Amino acid sequence: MARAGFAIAAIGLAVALAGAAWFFLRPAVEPDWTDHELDMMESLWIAKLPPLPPDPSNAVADDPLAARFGHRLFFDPRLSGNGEFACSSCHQPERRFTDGRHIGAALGDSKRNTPSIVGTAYSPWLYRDGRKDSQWSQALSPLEDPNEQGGNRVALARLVAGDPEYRRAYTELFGALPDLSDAGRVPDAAGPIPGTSLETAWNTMDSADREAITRVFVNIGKAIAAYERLLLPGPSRFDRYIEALARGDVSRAGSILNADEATGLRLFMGKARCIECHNGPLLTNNEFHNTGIMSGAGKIPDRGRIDGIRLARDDPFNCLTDFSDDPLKDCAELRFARTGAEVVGALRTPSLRNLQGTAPYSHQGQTPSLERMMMHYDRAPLSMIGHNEAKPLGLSRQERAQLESFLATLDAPLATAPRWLAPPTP
Amino acid sequence: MRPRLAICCLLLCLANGGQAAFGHGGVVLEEDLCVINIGYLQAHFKIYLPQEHQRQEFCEDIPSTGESLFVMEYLHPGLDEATIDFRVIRNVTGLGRFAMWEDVARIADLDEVTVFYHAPAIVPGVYSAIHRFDEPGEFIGIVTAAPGDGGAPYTAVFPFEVGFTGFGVWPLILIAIALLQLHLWYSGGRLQRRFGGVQRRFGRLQHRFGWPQRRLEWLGRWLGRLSPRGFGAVAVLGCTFWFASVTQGNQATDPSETESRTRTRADPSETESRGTSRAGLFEIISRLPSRAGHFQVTVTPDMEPLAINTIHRWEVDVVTAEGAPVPSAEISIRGGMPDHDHGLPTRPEATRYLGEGRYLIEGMRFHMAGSWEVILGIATDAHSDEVVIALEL
Repeated sequence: MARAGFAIAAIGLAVALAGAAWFFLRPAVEPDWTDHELDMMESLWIAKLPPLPPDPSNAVADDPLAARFGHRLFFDPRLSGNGEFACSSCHQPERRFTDGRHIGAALGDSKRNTPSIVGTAYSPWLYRDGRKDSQWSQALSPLEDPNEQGGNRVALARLVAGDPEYRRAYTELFGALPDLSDAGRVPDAAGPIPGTSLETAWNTMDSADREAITRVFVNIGKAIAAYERLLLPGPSRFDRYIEALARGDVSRAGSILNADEATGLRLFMGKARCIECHNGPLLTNNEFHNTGIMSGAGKIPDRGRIDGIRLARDDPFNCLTDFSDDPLKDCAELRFARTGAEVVGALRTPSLRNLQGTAPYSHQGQTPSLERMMMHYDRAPLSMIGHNEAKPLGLSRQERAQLESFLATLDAPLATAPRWLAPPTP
Repeated sequence: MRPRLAICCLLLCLANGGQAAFGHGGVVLEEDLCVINIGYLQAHFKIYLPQEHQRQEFCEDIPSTGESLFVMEYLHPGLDEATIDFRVIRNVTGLGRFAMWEDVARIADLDEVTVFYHAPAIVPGVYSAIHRFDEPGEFIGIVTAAPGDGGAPYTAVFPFEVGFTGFGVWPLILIAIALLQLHLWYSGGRLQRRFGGVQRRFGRLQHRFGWPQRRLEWLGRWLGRLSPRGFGAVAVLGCTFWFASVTQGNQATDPSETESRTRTRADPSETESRGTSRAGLFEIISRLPSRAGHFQVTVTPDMEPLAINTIHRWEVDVVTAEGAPVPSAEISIRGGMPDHDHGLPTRPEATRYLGEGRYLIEGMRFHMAGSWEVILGIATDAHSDEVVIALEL
């Protein structure tokens, strides 16, 4: 009798386990794509990435000599106040041009998590709050930020003038350097960095000298931007999948993405609504959205775009200033940018290409893993400031894992030639 | 039964009554929305304890020390341009939560009792400040807002407690528990006879699993004594505790108020006279009549096909119902995605009149695929009308 009881219990347990296993581990089925889904997938395909948009504000944007000069500058720690921090110290090529830290750290702590710079040539706005409207004006900020590279524009001009190779490249690209030899007129170090002795020194210079030196500073940014424009994502496994589907080769497609990854892709475009903001071949609309990410410990919630647009409008290097090379000064993005309640706490959508190895995520690195990020978007909690645009999704654990596995298919070597991804050889 | 019911009612009333007591000073609970009144300038006021209570909102009293985040979401647009300063002082008025601005003004040295001060600043959109309270106590928050038009500044004062230094309604609840327990003891003999079986059953369980004997005996005795009424009383007490803690937590949790406020959207009920167009057809809209029929509009973007994430221009051709060009009209542009509750990602403007009823609109951009609505307002000396353009991108 007791033995029969044990047998029934064992069978019951086995059935329950099998049921649970089916529920949690049931194999995903390769989706049968609808025309609408195929259209959406094609819109994400890297082959649909338009040619690099021109940057009329930067006359040397597409000049190979400027890119080579910018490449050297990007990896040169002499561009910092203490000679230790190059652009590449935080934007590390081997980490997809991020640094693996919660927030960037050089001379001090920066304000936010270091974003990748791959593909930023396509974005009308730079930084997570969009406080810069060109790659070159963005490149200038860390150079003089006391917490980042902590340099100053006079020292930078002197560096370019003093290094024979830099001097040659500079004069070929931008013409003669200003005369920096008169120490009475131009101090060793100076720049408009608020509340510092550098600012005091800067204010003693006459305005023509300040203007000439600021031009050199701007040109350094433009050369760095010419290099950064070359950093572009390459075709990933996901792109090969779409390519196979576009050719109607379903069996080949099935060998490129497994069923879980393909189901993740379907969720990405459907139930999980990721594609609403992560759209286009770079999987970003480069627009600003509040998604209710918690602030970092001890920090007020990031005000995001509501401050970013003010800073961009007041930026001495924005598209409308004389430092822009665009004679037309169209600057439509800047002139017609919105502000108001909708952009409170809104931050720029990041690209989802090449996320592997760029953890932690979010603007303060608050999200340690993609798994946690999926949980965040699944819950879509209320924002502490502003209004979370995202809605709760009701995803299962399995669905979140499938989304994550789809994101991994977006990883690929950059389309940029390897020699640009390492420090230049002398 | 009757006295117990009365106790429960009393407890519930006390717990509930706590809520009314929170409406004091410049901060009041209005229909679940915690509002601060700085003169005529209103803002949604909330406090977070991000480390300990994550996203839970508190109206003013906060249950524990630590990092506190004060947030004011403006309900009056005047605050966008106002110069705001925020100060937290120790409540030395001796008036507790009844302290008012006059009492604060009498404090000789405000700086001496100040624990946090945020210098005057213009902060558009939302105001937030963070302060770490290391010790519990009574505090007063002082918000001063000087309107952007140069008018006299307004001040709101709100006393609040950190870490609930007062005992609130808890002593009364404890007394009530003691009364109930006394009552149970008093009627215990009769109840034990009725429910003694429970105790015996626990004894058998204990024998089987070898649980700690003393604890089980205690539990069995207690359960054995409990009557259905006793269970009821415990349940009511539990609920009261919960209710009291929730009320003390004083959450302003209704998000719908703030959400609806931040929406800028095209009215989806405006269904008449709309043209639907599949992007990709150039001259996306042709001779679309306006809502009241005063105008007809033809739209030609400088981009074909219309794509997302690219800023571009529209040429808008406005004619009267009879087909005559409309010069010197005021054109306004708004719109958004009705299904998503958000507006356009840019603020397009009609920048130039091109002649013969044609207007140039600059700064158009769409940042998502899906259903969009662009509403063109057309105003002339004679008429003011709107045309709703629906786009599927």
